[in-house]
Amino acid sequence: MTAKASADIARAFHKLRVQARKEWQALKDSPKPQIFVGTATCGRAAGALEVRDTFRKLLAEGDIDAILTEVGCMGYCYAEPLVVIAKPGRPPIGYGYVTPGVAERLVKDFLLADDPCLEFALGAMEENELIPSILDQPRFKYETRVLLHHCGSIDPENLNHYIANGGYEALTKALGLSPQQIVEEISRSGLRGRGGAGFPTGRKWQICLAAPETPKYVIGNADEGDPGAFMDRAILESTPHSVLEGMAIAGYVIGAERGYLYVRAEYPLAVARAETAIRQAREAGLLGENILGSGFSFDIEVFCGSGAFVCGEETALISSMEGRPGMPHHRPPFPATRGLWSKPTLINNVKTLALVPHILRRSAQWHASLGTPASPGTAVFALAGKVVNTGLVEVPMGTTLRQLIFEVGGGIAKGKRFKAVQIGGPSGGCLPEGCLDLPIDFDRLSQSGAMMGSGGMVVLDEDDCMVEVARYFLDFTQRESCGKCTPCRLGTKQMLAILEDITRGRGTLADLALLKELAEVVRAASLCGLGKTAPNPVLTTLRYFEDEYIAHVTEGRCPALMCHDLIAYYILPERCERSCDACVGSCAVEAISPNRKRIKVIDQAKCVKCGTCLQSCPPQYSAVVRVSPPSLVPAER
Amino acid sequence: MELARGEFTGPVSDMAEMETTLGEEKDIAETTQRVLQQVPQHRGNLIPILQRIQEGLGYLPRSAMAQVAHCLHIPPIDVYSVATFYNQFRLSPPGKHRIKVCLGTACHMKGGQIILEAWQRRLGIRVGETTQDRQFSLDRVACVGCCAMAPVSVVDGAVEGRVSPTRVDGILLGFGLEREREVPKGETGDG
Repeated sequence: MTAKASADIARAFHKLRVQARKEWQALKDSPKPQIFVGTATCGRAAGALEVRDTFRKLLAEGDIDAILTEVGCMGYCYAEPLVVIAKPGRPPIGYGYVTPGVAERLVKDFLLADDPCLEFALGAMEENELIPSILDQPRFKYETRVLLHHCGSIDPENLNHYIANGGYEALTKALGLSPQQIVEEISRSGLRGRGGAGFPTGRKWQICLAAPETPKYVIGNADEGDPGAFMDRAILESTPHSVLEGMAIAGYVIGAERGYLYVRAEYPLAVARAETAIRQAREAGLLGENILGSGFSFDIEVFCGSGAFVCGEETALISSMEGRPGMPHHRPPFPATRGLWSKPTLINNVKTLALVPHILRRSAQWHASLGTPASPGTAVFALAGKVVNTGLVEVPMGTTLRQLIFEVGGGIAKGKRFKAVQIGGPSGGCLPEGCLDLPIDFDRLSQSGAMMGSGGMVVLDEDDCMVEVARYFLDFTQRESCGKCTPCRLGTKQMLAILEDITRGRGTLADLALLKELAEVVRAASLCGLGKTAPNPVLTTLRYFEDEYIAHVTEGRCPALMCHDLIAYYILPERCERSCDACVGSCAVEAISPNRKRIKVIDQAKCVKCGTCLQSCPPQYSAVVRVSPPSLVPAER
Repeated sequence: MELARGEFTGPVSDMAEMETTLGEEKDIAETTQRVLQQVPQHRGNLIPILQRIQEGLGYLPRSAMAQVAHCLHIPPIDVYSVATFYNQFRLSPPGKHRIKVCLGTACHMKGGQIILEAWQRRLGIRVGETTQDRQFSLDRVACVGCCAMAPVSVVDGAVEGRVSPTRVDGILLGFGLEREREVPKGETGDG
């Protein structure tokens, strides 16, 4: 590329950036109060749209001059719906659990009067001398936001917001470099694929760049089928342009003209925002023919995945894009040399692609300095389960599980005891308390029997049965097994049958040995990642929680009081209050009735073990208990 | 036809074999034709085509699949294998009210299975089925991404968080009342 050509590209981009910065600065400097409402899917589920509409209505009715902006996911899912209000002269303040009623108070008391309603506030969004800041919370000591940096601070449907915050600078820079230079930069950064397996991204790009055949394709993989993981969705809903920019750079490097963004159809908002972003980028000349006058053309299309977990596997994903059932192929040939329509295809997870612009803009050294030497960078986790602060978190690799769960996540909810953490979804494993000081990186997690996976992290407490957890994940993988190879199709089915026997109290000690043997076979002999990792939840629970399995098979007892067939609900006669009928009315199947002494008794034959009576029994009595094995319930006299 | 009947169990088999009326058949053919005109007709677009047909009709009728196979010049079995492989597609008409129970990890740990059982018990159908009167259909979904509000059910597109078996009864009671208002008095039968 000549010096003049790269100067032309820079000039074309400069024009866009000036415009974008002007708009952004005008918003920042505006004397009007600003209201930001997080309207990603998690916020919407909690009622963010009603809150947004309340603000809109009140602003219109009261003729109040304020700017209402919709932003993406801020990462504090536990406190949704979230609203940030920035009023000139005050630091921006974040509010959680906002309802239309709270929104009304905020308009009347804060916008019209000057009472910031601190009773609803989570804290100020930046350091200041007046109001405690959320940055003082322990999670901010550990969090390093790279991927999530713009999530919740920019309007995902506004291209100018992204450009004003450094967006598309990396693409402009890339167009002035040679593909080989970019591959070297990515390799130096140590970036590893964020889809779960951690394959070095630079090496993948190098293979695809060297492949002689044309045309080539780029696929952004957002087929996030792992139950309990939602970071790909959050990124597409909050900062879709970062993914598009990464894909365009990848296209330039390998010499592709077409890219596909493979998004689950279950994520309608992510699909809509990605499509809006693609349209905007095309209009600005950042996608399409002759990008920024560089002569490089690249366009992106969204492909909606139809809900098959196995399609997260790259060869299965390609099968589905070719209009066939999503069944994986044997590798090699790898898609990088022979992929979509048998052409070289670069498939990267959208998190990997969204990291690329950051690396090019800030340098490979910067990325390599984050995290650990073998796994540089940050990791995004969807923290869920029995932890206080559920939500999206991004920490440098090398952070320990203990820091992540107890400092960032705020510990175990309701004062219960930590039992295990499940990492990596159905492909991952359950780690016990003894593993909590393990630093999070690709290799250390694999050694412990778990896996980085796509980043789902579910915290389990003393009320969770590990056998049931293993059964749950295997039930999932068994359903999602595509049926192509025998070990996965039949092996997972048999393993599930054994686990079901155990959770129903019909297992034997010999079953445990058989289960382990089967798990090893499925792991060794399956064709693709789904089957190879499906036994992980079983193997890790057998390794770390064997005593629970043994209690199930030898005593018919579920120590966590969870397995349906091994527990019974029982009302303690000495605690039951004669005048109270709460449980009788609450029972969905009319299994509870008072005896002659007006002490309530559960008819075990009718009881469906739904637990409603346990919840409805007033706390001062707490007469309903679960017992295991069910034979502990004394016969009614 | 005898063969196909064995594939379904429970009330769904009745639905699947239910005669479509002439009007419905016309609607199916028109929707399918419209989709086939919008999307370029090649094999790679099979899934987008089926997605759009389902968007229009709520399910994939047998005749629509046959029409798609004909236009793409592929055997009907190829269309059928794709339609049955992916979780998104359904082969029977959905109910008027669509209930989806989330069984993602967080929902499962907080009793999603109990909620699913409550729906099944109250509606008298199993997962993937539609009630005889086509009022309700019940599905399980892997994760709707609102793990903080577990257990979650999605009722007609609206997310219900922290559902309990009592809440299930409450939601159904609400639909019952709504129906009573719609149906003139005296025809309500057992209500």
